[in-house]
Amino acid sequence: MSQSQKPTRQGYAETAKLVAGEAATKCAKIVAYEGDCAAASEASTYATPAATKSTKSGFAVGAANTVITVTTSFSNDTVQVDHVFTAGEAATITGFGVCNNEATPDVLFAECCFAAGIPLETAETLAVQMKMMQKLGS
Amino acid sequence: MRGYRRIKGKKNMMEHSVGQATTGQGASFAAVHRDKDGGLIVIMNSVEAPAPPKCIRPGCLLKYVIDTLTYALVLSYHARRVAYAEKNKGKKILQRYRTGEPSPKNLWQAIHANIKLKCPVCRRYDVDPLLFAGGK
Repeated sequence: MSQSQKPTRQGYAETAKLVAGEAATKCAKIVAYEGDCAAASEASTYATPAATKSTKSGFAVGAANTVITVTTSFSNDTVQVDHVFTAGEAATITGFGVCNNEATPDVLFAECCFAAGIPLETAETLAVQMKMMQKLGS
Repeated sequence: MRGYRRIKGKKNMMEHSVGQATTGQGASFAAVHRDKDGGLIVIMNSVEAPAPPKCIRPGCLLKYVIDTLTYALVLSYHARRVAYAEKNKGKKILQRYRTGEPSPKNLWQAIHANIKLKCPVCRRYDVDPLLFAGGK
């Protein structure tokens, strides 16, 4: 597996809907991945992420601890999601994704695959942070 | 305290930034794995892919090739480093393999870092196998 991170096309579309005031929900949930996470992809969706969504205790989809805007280049141009997964049982985590705020999310905003699988034992923690910047580049 | 030291004093260990090359949306991530006592096991930060070349002059293309090769080697280094740190959970190893800092910044450093990490004696005693006088 290779370390990689991507915003998704599904996330772009949800962002566009939010800007247009159409039916959409904000980025608020997070889920850890297990299994082979070959590479994060723009084509990933909540239904078909880069790896298997974990259902284990502490890693299943749930509300992220904090979702705020921060500054990368211009004031408030970046969404920052912070979360601490606390293992309720042993699991090997290979990445994570951030999702929208439905009871059962249907949009994956961004995902990442780790450089290597992270084996966690019960009560160990994995603090993660995802930044999604609205970029103005060349 | 077990065989490794807890990192203190560094205000934010999740230091990563989104690449600036293109218009649109970019993503970056960081992850910190700690044991149940709060001891650091490993930190991961995203690595930005090199920006595509903006001209077709040999110099631009060569720079892109070197940047891409460096990127691949840095990714390889971090994949090995994270696996090594996880395998040695609770043992004393060089702190750089837990924190990922300093990360290789160029091709030369990436080659050295990979070779050093593969060499059990070098990583144990913190010596660079390509610099025989104990270079780091």
